Amino acid sequence: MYNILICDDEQDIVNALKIYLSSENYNLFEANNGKQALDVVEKNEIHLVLMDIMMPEMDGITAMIALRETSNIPVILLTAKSEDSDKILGLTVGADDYITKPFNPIEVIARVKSQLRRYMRLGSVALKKDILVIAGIALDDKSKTITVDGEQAYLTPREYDILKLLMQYPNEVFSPKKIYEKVWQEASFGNEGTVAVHIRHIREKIEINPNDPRHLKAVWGQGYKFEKVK
Amino acid sequence: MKKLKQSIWAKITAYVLICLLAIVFLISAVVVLISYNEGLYEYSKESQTEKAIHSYIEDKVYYAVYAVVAGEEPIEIDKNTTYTIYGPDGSMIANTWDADKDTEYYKFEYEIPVGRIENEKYTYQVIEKGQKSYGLTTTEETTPEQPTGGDYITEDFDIYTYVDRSLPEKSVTHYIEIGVELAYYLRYAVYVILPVTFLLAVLLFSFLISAAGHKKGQDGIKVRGLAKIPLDLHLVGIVSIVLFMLANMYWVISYAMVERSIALLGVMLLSVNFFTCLAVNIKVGSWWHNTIIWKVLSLLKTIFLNINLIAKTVLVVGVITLLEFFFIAMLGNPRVLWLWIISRVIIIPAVFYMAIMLNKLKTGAEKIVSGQINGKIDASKMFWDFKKHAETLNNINKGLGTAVDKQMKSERMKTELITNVSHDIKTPLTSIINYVDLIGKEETDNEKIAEYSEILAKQSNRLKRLIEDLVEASKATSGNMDINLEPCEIGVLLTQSVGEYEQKMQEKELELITKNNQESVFIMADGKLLWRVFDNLLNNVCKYAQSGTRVYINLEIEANKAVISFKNTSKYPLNISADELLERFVRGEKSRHTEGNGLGLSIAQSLVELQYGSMQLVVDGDLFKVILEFELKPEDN
Repeated sequence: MYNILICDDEQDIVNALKIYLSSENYNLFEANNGKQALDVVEKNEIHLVLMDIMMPEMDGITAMIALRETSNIPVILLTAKSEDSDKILGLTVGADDYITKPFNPIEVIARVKSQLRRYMRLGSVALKKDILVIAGIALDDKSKTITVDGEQAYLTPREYDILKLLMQYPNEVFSPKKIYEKVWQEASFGNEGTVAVHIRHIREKIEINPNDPRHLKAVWGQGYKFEKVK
Repeated sequence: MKKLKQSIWAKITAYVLICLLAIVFLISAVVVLISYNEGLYEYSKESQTEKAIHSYIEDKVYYAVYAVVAGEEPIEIDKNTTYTIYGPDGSMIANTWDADKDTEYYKFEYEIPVGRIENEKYTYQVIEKGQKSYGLTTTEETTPEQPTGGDYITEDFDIYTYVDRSLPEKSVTHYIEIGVELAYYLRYAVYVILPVTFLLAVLLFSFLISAAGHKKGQDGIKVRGLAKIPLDLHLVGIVSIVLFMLANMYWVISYAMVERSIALLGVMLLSVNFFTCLAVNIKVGSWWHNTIIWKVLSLLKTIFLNINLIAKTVLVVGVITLLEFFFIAMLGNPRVLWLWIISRVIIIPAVFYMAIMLNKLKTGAEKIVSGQINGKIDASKMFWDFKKHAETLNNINKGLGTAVDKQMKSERMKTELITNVSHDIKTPLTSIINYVDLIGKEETDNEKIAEYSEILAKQSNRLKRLIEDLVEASKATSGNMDINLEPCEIGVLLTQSVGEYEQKMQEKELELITKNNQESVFIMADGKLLWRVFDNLLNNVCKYAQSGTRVYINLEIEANKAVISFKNTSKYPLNISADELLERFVRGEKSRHTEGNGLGLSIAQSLVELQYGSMQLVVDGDLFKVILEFELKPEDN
C-alpha cells in the first residue's frame, strides 16, 4: 500500500483522480495548494505526489522546490500548460514526470505505477553488473532482456540492438543511416525507413505513451536519441 | 517525325549530306562556268580539246625555248608532244619531232619573243611572256645582274609543236581530253543537278532548323551547347572568318580546287550551324537575350538604375553639358558662349542641390518603408517645399510607429488571451473528460446512457484538440514562438515522419510512396516545428485521403531550393479553392461530422513561413497536393 498525495486546486479533478487511483489500491491524500501539500508530506509518509502547477497561495513549482530540499519522492506534475518550456522547467527543478491536462486517466495510472516501481526498486536493479539502467529502463546484455520499471519488455533482436546502441550513448543523436549501418552491419541504400519503423515499435514497448515519448526521442531532421535527464 | 527530330544521328547525317550536296553543287557550278567560258555549248568536242591543249602547251613552250637559248638539251614538254624550234634567222636550232612518223597531230605554231642586251661583258637574254621573265644567260661566269647600257634587241623564235592526236601517254594532255569530254557530257546534266542539289540542301537545311533544340529524352526545346554562344559573337566570328578568307583571296585562289572547296565547305558548315543556333534561340523566345549587345545594354541599365540619384544626376547633367559645350563652341560665337556659361553656373548647382535633397528624402522614405520607424529625416538644412515634404514624411513615420506599436501590442495580447483562455478552459475540460469516462465505466442497464457518454467522450476529446490547435495557430500566425533554426536534413526528417505514420497509413489502407533521389539535403529549419508541419500534413492525408489509393511524397532540388511535395487523392470532392482551404476552420468536406477542425493547414503554412519557407496548395479535381519549398542551407566553405 503506497501513499499518494494528489494536489490540485480544482476539487473535481482531485475527486476524479481519487476514483481512478483508489481502484488500484493506493492510500490517497489530498491537498488544494502547495502549502497544504508540503504540510501533508511533512506529517505523513508519502510515496508519490501528483501536483498541479497553477494553484492559489503556493504554486506547484515553488512547492516542489521546497519539497526537494528534504525529500526525493517521485513528483509528477499535472499541468494545463503544454508549452515545452513549461515541461523543461518542471523537469529541471526536480519533477520526475509530467502529464498535461486534459489527461488520459489510463496514462496517469501507468505513470504513477512506473514512478513507484522505479522509486521502490531502483537500488536492487542497479547492483548487478552488465546492466545499463537509465530512468527505470534496464538493459541486461547478458540475458539480452529489457525491463521497464522491473517489468520485462519483449523486444526483437534488432529492436534490442537499436535500443542498446542508443542507451550506450545517452543524449547522443544517431542518424537513421548510422543506426542502420551499426545494427544491420551493412551499407544503407535507402533502408533508413526500416529504422524509423523499428523505433516506433520500440516506443510502443517501452514508453507509456508512444506518441509522447519520454525516453526514445526523435530529433527531427537529425536522428534519434535516448534521453537522460540530468 | 518527332523521333527523327530528336535523333542526333539524323542531324549528323543531315549535316554530312548538306556537305556532299554542296560539293556536288559547287562542282556543277564550276562545270557550268567552264562550259560557258569555253563555249562547250557552241563548238564541237574536238575543237574544244584542241583549244584546251593549245593553251596548255603554250605555257610549256617557253620553257623549251628557254632551255635551248640557255644552251641546254631540248627538254620534254609533254609526253605526247614533240616540237621544232627555229631561231630568228630561220634556222632550226632544236628538234624532237620525228617527221617520218606517220601519226596524226594537233599542230600548233607559237612565236616567242626573246630579248637580248649585249655589251662588253656579257649577253643577257630574256624571254618574256607578259610581265614574267623566264631566264637569262651570260657569256661570262659572273653573277648576272640587271645589265645597264647596251642595245636591247628583240628577236622572235618560232616553235612548232606536234601533239599526238591519239594521246597515247597518260600525261596532262591526256587528262585534258578526258576533262573536256566529261564537261561535254555534263554540260546539260548540270542544269538538272544544280536545282536538285539546291532543293535537297534547302530541304535538309529546313529539317535541321526545325529539329534544332530537340533532344532525345527531353520535352520541348532547350538551348544547349553551341546555341549558348551569344548570337552576335557567333555571327561576328563567322563573318570575320569569311573576311579573313576574302582578304587572303590570293591564298584561296592560288591553291588547288580542293583547298578552295574545303574552305568554302567550312564556311558553309559554320553558317548552317549558326542558323540552327539562331533557330533554337528564336524558338525558345526572346532570342535577343542571348546576345552580347543585349547583355551589355541590360547591364548598363541595371547599373544606371542602381547607382544613386546623385550619381545619376551627375552622369546625365555631365553628358548634356558636355554635348552643349561642344555644340556652342562649334558655333564660335563668344557672346553666346558666355551667356551659356553664366546660365550653367546658376542652373547646375541648383540641379545638384535638388538631387541631393531628393536623395535624402528618398533614403528617408525607404527607411520608413523598411520598418525603421525611429529613423528621422534631418530637415534642418532644407528649404521651401523640401523641408515641408521632409516634415510630412517624419509625421507619417511617427503615426506609423504608433500604429505598429499598437498592432504589436494587440497581437501579443491576442496570443496571451488565447493562451490564458485555453488554460482556463483546459481545467474544466479535464473534469468533463474524466467524469464522462467514469460515467462510461459505470455499469448500467440503460443503453442510452452508454451511447450518450460515448458521444460526450468523443466530442470532449475533439474540444481538447481544438483548443490545443487554436493555441498553436494563434502562436504560429502571430510569430509568438521560439524558433531555433539549425541545419536540418530533409531526407532524415522524411524518413522519420514516414516511420511514425507507416502503421496509421496501413490501417487506412493507404500506400505511401516516397521518392528521394537526393543525397543529404540540408536546409535551415527548426526540426521540431518542421516535424509539426509534416505531422499536420500527414495527419491530413490520413484523415482525408481515399483509402486504397497511393500517397506520394517527393523530395527534389530545384534552383537552390528543396521542394517537398505531398500528393494524395481526396476522399471527398474538393469543390473548394486552394486559398480557401488555407483559411482557418475551413475543411474540404462541408459536413462537420468527421474529426479535424480545419486548423491543420493554416498552422502548417504559418509554421513553414516562420522558417522562411513557402507552402502552396494545388487542388486538381480529387488530386490534393501540398508543395513546401525551403532554401537550401548555404554551403559553408
